[in-house]
Amino acid sequence: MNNTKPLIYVVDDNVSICRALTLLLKSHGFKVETFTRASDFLAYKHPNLPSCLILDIRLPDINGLVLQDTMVSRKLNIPIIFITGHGDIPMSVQGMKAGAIDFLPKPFTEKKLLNAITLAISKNIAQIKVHAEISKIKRRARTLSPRELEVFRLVAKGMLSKQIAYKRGISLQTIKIHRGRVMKKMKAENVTELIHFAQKAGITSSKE
Amino acid sequence: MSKKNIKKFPKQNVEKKRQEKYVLKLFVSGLTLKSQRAIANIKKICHEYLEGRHDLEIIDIYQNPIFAKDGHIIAAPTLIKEFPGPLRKFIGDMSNTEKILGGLDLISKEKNKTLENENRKENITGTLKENEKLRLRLNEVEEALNAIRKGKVDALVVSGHKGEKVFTFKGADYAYRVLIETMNEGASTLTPEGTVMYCNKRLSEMLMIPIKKIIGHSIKEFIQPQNISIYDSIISQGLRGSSSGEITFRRRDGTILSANISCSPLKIDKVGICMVITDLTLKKREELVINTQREELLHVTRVGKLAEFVSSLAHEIRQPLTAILSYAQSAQRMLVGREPKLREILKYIINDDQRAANVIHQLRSLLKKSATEMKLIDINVLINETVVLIDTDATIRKNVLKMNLKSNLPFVRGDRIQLQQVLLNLISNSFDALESSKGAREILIRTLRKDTGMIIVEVKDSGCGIPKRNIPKLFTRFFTSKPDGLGMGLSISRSIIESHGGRLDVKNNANSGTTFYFTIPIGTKET
Repeated sequence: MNNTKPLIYVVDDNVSICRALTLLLKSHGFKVETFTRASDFLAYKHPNLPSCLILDIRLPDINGLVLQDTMVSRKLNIPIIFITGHGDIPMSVQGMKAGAIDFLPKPFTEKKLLNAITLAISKNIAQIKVHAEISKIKRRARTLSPRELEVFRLVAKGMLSKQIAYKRGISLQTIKIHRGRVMKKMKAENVTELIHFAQKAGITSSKE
Repeated sequence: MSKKNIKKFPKQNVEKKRQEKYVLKLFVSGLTLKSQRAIANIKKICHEYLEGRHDLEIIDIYQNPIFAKDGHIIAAPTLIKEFPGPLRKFIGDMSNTEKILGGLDLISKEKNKTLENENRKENITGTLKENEKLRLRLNEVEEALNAIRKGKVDALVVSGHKGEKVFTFKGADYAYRVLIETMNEGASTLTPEGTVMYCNKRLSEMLMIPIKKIIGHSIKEFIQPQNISIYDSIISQGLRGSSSGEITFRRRDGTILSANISCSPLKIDKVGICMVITDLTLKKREELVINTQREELLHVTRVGKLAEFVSSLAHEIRQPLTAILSYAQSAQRMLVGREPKLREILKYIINDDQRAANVIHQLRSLLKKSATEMKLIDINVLINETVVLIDTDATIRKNVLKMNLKSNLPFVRGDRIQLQQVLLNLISNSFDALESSKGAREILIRTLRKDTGMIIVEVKDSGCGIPKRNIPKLFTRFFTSKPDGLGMGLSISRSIIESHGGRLDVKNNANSGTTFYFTIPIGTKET
């Protein structure tokens, strides 16, 4: 993952800006994909690469902020750097609150853009990492039997084996066996790590 | 009408002691309104007291100066001095009956000089008695007149040869009188030449001049000199029919009274003019307020449109600027370690791109207040940079830009773009001032140090100058003398300079043109 070139998406209706940013970003060793319409960007099949989006806030088809919302609802986790030719402060505030990395008024310098991109990519790499970990945990959790999953949840809630046995009316011995299997299947070194996994994958919160 | 309000006048019974015929010569200096009034008065008095036993000759000494030598009554004090004689006396105020009577006392009987001398003693005692009686009667008359004037008398019964006659004031005539005296408009009657014969209280209040000092004077004395011709045309029309127009009067305190005058011919005895004067001050003030508001609204709308326009323009310019910047910066990266000259050019492109972006940013900040960037600036360098921006413009307009910059000036603290904007505004104003100039087309930019920790920057032109009356309004928002101006430039410039802790002001040059100058504090490293 470390040797792959990050991919920078540019969505701006101005062709010249797209072209110029492609040249600039490629000279810095990034892969670049440009779109003049937000819908084209959404229709694109996004490869699993560390990436970020340079997004003009005012687009002909949909507003940049709407695109941001759409991406959230589609779980398209790509950090956004907004760019704008109108110093729209209220819009920028809204965009930043919704999780944008930065807000660059046009024209922006190479330095400012690169700073923002570096931040966005590192955030995206972290996101990808977290995402990969979650899916790994979820994948492992799917191998658990219903009883094992229940024990996993109760352990993640911080209950002791004795408490679980008492609550479920099952012998402590049986619980201990289930717990051992959970630890093994989830590849957790200790209970702390197991609880951590549960929190990351959001397993504690389901049911009850 | 109540009984106590009726005054009775006694029947005339002046003792007819002297049956001799009096030969009177009244000398007047020109047939002015004043002298005409005096003549009328004397005629009346003579008729009343001498009952036709007189021969009154009126001589205008301007027309017949020779007669002045042997006259008996001379009303002109200068002539009494010039041609002294025993029978001459200056009567003084010819409207004062008492004084005239005193004068009549000296009337000689031309044909019976000797007789007069013999009877003098006797006559004097008789005359004195007569005088006393007359004085009493006069007092009574005056009292009655005062009572009438104050409205205390409703009717007047006058006993005459043909029985008693009742005059009431409550009739139609009275109502008119009261109306004219108390109405809220100035009213006056004039001779065709403009001498005031009558003036009501209101007019006197409007002009802040006592009635006495208006009546007998020419109305033109109270009119603004530049309005006399308007007045003349209104009057000449007013003599034929009715006419009206606006003129300005000058009050006693020198202030101006805008008024509407309406005139109509007055046909009593001789032709005169009846004039009603309406104070327009309030109306004018209201008009001014409304006009100002309308203008401001118009400008606000225009400025609103401008803001919108600037905003969209800014966006349009920012797009290519963004592209240019990115192109140039990627080209720079491509040329790393090679082509130093090309890389330098790219650097200039990048710098200018950013300057343009700053200008746009500042342009927007004019319409939307944003933080300024205060830095230490060499004002001379800034002036040079600014001049470069408009040098071409100056050449096209055939203007000569000269600079006299004091070297080694300390830095000032300020916002580069804003100060540049002020300089550009002042220089381009100078360009406009030179537009119609036929003489030298020169602009001199000067910097100098003031001992108070300030630097002065002057922009001096040899243009058309600024009318004095416009100077106080010059820096107010929306004031402009240019047909297509917004009236924002100097107002913005002044607020920029003031936000820097300096002052922007203007003075007209002694010879020609204008000098705008501003001060700006010397910057310190701290803060």
